[in-house]
Amino acid sequence: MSSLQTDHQDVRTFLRSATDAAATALHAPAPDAIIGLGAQRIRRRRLAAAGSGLAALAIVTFGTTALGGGFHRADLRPAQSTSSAADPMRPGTVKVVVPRNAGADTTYVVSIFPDTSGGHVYVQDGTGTSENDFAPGFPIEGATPDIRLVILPADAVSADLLPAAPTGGVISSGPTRVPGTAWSVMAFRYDFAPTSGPATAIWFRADGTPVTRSGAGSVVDFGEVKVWLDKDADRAGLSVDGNRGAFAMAGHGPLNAFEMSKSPDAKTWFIGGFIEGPATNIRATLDKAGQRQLGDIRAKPIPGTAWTAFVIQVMTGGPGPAATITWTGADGQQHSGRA
Amino acid sequence: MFGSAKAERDAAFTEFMRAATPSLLRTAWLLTGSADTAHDLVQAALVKTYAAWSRVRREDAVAYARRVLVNEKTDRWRKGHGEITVAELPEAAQRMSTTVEDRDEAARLLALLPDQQRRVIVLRYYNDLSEQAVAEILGLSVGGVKSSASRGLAALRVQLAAASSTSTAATTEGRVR
Repeated sequence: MSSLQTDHQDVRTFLRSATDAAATALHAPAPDAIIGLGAQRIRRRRLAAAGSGLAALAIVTFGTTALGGGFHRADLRPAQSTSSAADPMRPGTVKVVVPRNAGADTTYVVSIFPDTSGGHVYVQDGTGTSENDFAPGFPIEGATPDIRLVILPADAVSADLLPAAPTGGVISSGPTRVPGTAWSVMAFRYDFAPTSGPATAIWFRADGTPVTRSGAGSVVDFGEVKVWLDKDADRAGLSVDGNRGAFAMAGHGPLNAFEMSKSPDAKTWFIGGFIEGPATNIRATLDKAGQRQLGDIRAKPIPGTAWTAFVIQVMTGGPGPAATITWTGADGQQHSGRA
Repeated sequence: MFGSAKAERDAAFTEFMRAATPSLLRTAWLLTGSADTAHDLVQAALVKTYAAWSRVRREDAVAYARRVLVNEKTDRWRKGHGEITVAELPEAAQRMSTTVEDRDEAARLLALLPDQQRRVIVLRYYNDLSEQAVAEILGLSVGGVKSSASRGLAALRVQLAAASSTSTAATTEGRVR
């Protein structure tokens, strides 16, 4: 490799030349406008903080559930209260207590102000107030980087963040309804602050349907197994028996597959995922079958997409060796990929 | 008393803005490829920085504003406003001889990179941030930054080489004529 490439001077020069060329077209915002808008933002934040102090009379303290690392998670506790559907634009406040293994719990007062252009979420932690965009399904960082708060639709009964924490465990709180609103708040505390991200949430309705911010339209129901795809968030995964799921980044090849079971010691596992385009005659071959046996293979188109979801049952014991998946594409040709 | 404190705050922030805005604008332009969008992004980042000014250490102010800017762009993407790219992609087959053409060509090449690779390339090789610093800003692992940088550099070099060979061919053709 040349020295030019070793220190990437060629790319540095390219970027600097590009910005030099662009400089004449770039116009700085007016300082007075910045200060005016900034002062307005501070006033709005103070108003929200004052409002949330009053609303904190309606306090709901979250129950907590310990979760393990990886994708074999204990059940999350359902929301403690549900009420009739509320206006999604209605603001509200809830108090969230995030438990700690040692020391005092962290308490947050979360105030949501949805509006047609997005809205805001104000989070008070006792030391200050942070202002955040109202973006359900996207985590808001707490007072410390190990804590994430997520706004979810009120019908969510459990949720997880994607990608999951790479190491250590997670304790979650909620989701708990923000009284009088169409929204809930869920809190996560990681043993180790997640370094991968940015994360998004997957949440589950009471019937076990997994939902992402793209909605539930990309979920294919195979009974005990659901394959879901959130192309917009670049996430995909499986859900087995309700609110347990294997989550991963969606890949960019023609085949994306994941393996999971209801529990680590389950006798039946599933290889599932999706194939780009229509696919028929889906077959699987385990690299080293051993005691593992292939069972049913099921496939369905993913509604609203050009993808085909599939699930392959693998019987007898534990996660196993990789498999080769073959299928016939829309072109009539046989294709294959690795799972 | 209160008015005086605000005046001092505003004066300090104005001084910061004057020093930091050119660099922020250039970073925003590299991230978006659009002068108008860069203006909007920098404005949004500076407004948020102003609102947080009492908590921002002066020596960290530029880094804070840059972080807000990068995340502001991410937020916009998350909200479904779409990837912000140049409005029109100019053809690559022309020799870029003027400043405007150089700018458009650079925007076109950067627009070909996936969003994350583009952010990593800009922060790492334009802002000269360490892998760790980039990882912290983008919420990635250091390994993720290395991987994105490697793929982004490779993709960018392929495009630069293609643009270069095209321009050479055009020049040669010009000589024949």
